[in-house]
Amino acid sequence: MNRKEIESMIDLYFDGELEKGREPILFTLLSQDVEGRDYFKKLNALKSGVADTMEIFPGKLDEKILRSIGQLNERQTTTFINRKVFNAVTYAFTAILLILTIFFYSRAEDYKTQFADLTREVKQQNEKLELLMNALPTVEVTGAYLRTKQIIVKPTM
Amino acid sequence: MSEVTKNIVEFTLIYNQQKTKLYNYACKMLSDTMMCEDIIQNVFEKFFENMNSIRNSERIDIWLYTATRNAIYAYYRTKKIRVDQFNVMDTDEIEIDSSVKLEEELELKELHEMVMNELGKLDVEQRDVFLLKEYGDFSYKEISEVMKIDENLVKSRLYKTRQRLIAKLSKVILNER
Repeated sequence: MNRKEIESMIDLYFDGELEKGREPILFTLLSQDVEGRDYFKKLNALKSGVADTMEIFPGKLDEKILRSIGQLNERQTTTFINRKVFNAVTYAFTAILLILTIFFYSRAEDYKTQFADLTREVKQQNEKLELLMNALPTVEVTGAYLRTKQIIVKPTM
Repeated sequence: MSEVTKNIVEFTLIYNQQKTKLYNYACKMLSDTMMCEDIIQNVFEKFFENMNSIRNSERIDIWLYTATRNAIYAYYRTKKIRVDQFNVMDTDEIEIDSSVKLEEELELKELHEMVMNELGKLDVEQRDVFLLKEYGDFSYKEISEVMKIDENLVKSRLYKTRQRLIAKLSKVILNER
């Protein structure tokens, strides 16, 4: 195994990506390889050196973030309540519209029936009138172009 | 428990769990405490506002780091800091600046200060992968998800970055031992 491969294995080990089964192989290799052990130690020191650079989260920023989250939460709660009120109003308005629709529909149905009755009555009266008209004696109309331009109508009764 | 209370409790748990690591990641990436604090605050606010959708769709820690990373890169763009994603040292050649006198540095700084200093000198992408590993404690796969790059590239960048840091700090490390 060459140097790069051993170092790559060490990297994997420190990154927690080396398979458990390969760990004994790595340690066997390290026991026989001074340079590998040196790299192992250096990487370990670098890791702890990096861990030392971890700064504490600033208290002021903590306060600032939590305050802004509190405000956001309040705003979200208000929006939620507003949304609830809006929903209630919408439901009420819809219910009113539904009632009005039913009312006007029933009224329209009444008018429709009344209109149908009236139409039927008018039709009947029309038929009666036609019957009356047909019952009258026929009239003979004769026209003659005279000098006086008169039209004489003679009923044949 | 109402939904609002449940959200607050869950947020507090995640916040306490992630805040220090996320803050350190952002600060080391930016080297600007004010900007870093602003970004962290915005990320947590955004997280709180979208908690329900995030909770159901993806891993929260990955979401937090991705959002922070996006904010950092947006800041870089506004500051016109060049981030060349494809020109990072992925080759075998690692350039080490030998002009720095380690002996002098040893007298002045402790190891962690030197680590900080060296981290600041790394390319953005190299620093990113290294910090995500060290502070975010992510696996290679998770880092590749956050950075949207190949897992092998993550592994390779991490290896090169460590090689570079070890080479720079080896004298200090050996001395500490």
